Amino acid sequence: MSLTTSAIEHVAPDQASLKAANKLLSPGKWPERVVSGDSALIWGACQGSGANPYRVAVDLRDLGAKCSCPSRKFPCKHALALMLFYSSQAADFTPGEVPDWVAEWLGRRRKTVTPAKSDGETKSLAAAQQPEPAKPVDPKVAARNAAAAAKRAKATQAAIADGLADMEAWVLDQLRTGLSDLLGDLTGRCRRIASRLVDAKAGPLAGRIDGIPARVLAMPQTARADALIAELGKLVILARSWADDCDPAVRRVITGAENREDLLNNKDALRHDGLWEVLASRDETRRDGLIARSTWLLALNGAGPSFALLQDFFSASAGKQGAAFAIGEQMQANLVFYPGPMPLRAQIVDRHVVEDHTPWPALPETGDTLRAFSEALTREPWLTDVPILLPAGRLAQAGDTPIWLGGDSALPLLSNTLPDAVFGAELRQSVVLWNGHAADLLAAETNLGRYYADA
Amino acid sequence: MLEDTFSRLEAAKMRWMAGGVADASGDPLADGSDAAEAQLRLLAQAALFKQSCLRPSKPGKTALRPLLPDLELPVLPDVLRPAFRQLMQVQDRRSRQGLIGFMAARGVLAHPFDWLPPQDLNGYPDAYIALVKWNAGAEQHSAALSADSWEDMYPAERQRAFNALRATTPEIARQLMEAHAGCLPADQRLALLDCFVQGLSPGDGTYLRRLASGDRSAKVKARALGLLARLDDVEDGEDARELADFMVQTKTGLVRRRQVIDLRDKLNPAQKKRVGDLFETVSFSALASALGVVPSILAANYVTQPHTSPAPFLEMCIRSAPVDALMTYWGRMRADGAAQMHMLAAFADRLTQEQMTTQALGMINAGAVTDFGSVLDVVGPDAGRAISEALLNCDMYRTFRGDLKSALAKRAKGESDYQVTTTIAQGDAHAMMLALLLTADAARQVISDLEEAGLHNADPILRPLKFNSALQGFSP
Repeated sequence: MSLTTSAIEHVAPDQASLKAANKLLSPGKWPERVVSGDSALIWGACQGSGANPYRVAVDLRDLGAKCSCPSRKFPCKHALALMLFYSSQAADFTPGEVPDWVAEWLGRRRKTVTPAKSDGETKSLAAAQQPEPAKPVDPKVAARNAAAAAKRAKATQAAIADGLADMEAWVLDQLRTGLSDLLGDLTGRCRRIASRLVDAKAGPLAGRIDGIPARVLAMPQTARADALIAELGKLVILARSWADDCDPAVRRVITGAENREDLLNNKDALRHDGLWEVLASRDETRRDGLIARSTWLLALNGAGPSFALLQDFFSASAGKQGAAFAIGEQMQANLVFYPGPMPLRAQIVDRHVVEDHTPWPALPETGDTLRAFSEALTREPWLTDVPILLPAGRLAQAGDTPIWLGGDSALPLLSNTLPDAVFGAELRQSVVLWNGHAADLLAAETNLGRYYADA
Repeated sequence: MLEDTFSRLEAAKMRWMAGGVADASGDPLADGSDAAEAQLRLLAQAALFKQSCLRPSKPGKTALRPLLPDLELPVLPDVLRPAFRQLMQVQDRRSRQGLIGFMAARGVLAHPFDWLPPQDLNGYPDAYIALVKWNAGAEQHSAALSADSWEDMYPAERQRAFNALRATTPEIARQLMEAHAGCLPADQRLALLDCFVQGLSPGDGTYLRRLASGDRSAKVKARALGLLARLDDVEDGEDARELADFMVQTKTGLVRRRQVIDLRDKLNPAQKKRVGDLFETVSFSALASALGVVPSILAANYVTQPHTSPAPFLEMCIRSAPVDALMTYWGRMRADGAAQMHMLAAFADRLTQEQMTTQALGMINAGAVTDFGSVLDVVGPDAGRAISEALLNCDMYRTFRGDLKSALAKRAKGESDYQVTTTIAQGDAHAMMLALLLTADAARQVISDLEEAGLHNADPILRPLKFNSALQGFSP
């Protein structure tokens, strides 16, 4: 099915979108470009600014488009770029089976198909392809801007230090007035100090504090005091680790992660090209209206990190975003890890889908199932959740609490919604998120095949 | 050392919980700092100590479930499990049962991580009994049904064993039921009684009469009465005479005059209700006797035309008429165009599966199909090549394709309206039912036909058909 430039210009919402799409026409940004056997559908993955690539699909019969990016423009620049690619380089698209997420979109759009509308604005791809003229830079203005930036950075640093001092004082107040009281009004009190930290430009730390009630109250009654002490103590450790030249991992927790471009340009950042399996994908709606999506990957080969966490944030008001990966999918991917003592959070540089299914790596012999967690705390003592590969075991019940049993170890599990059948399976290996008190079972290799909690 | 630290931090925890300043005097890390600093340092230690140095203790009492049992059939391979989960997410109970039944017919079971059968197993294949027992915590044992094993058997397993016993030694089965079924719930008694259609003989009469007169459940009583009627062992002469009084025997036809039996005209609502009640209890033979005709004449002369649903008379025939009389009447209904596919489903315990399929085939070829779901109810899932070929050549299939094609064409032009949306939504239901009925080759043919009609190969409408096609390797 051929696609003309004029047809793409016609469906573009405005000239700016065409221009933005034109900037995405680099094959390196598109690790995946596929066309269906009948040439009626094209889809691909475009590496945007998030950790997960955006999934883009276009129905060539009516140029309907779908993209997992949060843009409110329709079609968005990613969809336009995919169309432009196809119109000029259709031969570069590999033929493939239509994946489920495209099929689901096709099913959903049955009810919503409307013919493309033109807003009357003149849109031209040729104009979009014109290079933008370089703007002359006045050295005086540049110096003034640099000085202003340095001043702002200093003020931010001071504001954060003040905010952290306030947080320590708040922690002391809670100890003095009693943690039992705090447990009785956990959400309200956490909200108040979190607001103070937002003012102090420590938004990510405020988000972490806003999450304390959910994490602590998810614990059984008997474990809440310890969980609360662990949360508060780790806040103190974070505050004491803060300095102008502090570890980037600390800065990331308090003020936020560096952007993708900076990470990719960081020559010291750990890179690992290997085979990865998508274990789980969790969405958490945060108090600030953002949805945090965490995608957990397990390394299947190589000597690099055993796990990777891809983390993205998007606005809850933008609606449900399609997942970038299928649970259980295996891929050959080059990952770059955010620098820190315990490399875990990462971004995908490029990836290729693999057809063969590789088994999970063998677990090194160790008597201590939680050793990986202890080691992680030694490196980054403020961590809350750490993925752990567990050896052979079974699930059992201890009263109302599900537990994982293996050798001499017993780990309480968070979920009471585990399917019954998993309790009747031999777990050859399991991956859990351990938070120091309870485990969240993500996936397991069993005598009956794979189990994925999020599938 | 660890014990000391533990004790110190536990004491601090108790103090902090109540509120106040914990004793940090023995803490080397807090030594020399002011009181506030000492509290924060102690708190930081407390945060990490348990998580780093201690491990969760094994609970004193744990309940470990037995391993999942070996199943009669292989489970769905991992590669098809996502498709199965998708199909099970959106379907109603009938479709879910159909899908599970279809898979069992192809020789494969749902993966227990994805689906476990309900405890009553009602409407699901017997191959899941082991899983039901496992889920209920019942012991897996395979002893034959006997007085000793009756209590130990799980209901679904006992039902299956009872059915088998009734097929081989009906008297022993009846004696077991007489001795043990009294304390079972009504639905289980009813299910066991349903097995009496196999090997029904006058020897069952005494027990059935006892049930018909004294069982706690009205449904069990009615079922026992139906079985007695088939034995021609019902004393319902008074009711039969009352029903016969509501009927007239006249002649019809201008040239070839023939006898017909029909209800009297102008029955008032109370009389109509009474007639309905009487049809539910009176047996076919008793009615024939009250009318003064032999059963074959009643079947040959009773009117067919007013019956647009499983009419009371047809229900009475199914319940209590001899099979040849039932088939005579059914044949007349078909000839008069009054028979509908969904009525045939009620014949299940009077006809063999082969006879049911033959009847269904005849009706499909005669164009008497109005929805594929009723065909599924009659012939069951994975119905074989003959049914598949008949369905792909029937008017309803042609209409379905044609309507879908028009709707898709309209949608492509942006003329989507309520009718288009409804037609495409109905396509989902039709495709699901066809997928449960057809052979893999026929399913592939439907996929091809629907693609030709304008559906993209990836459209979710085609999912169940693709699932059918992918399961071909499991065909027995």
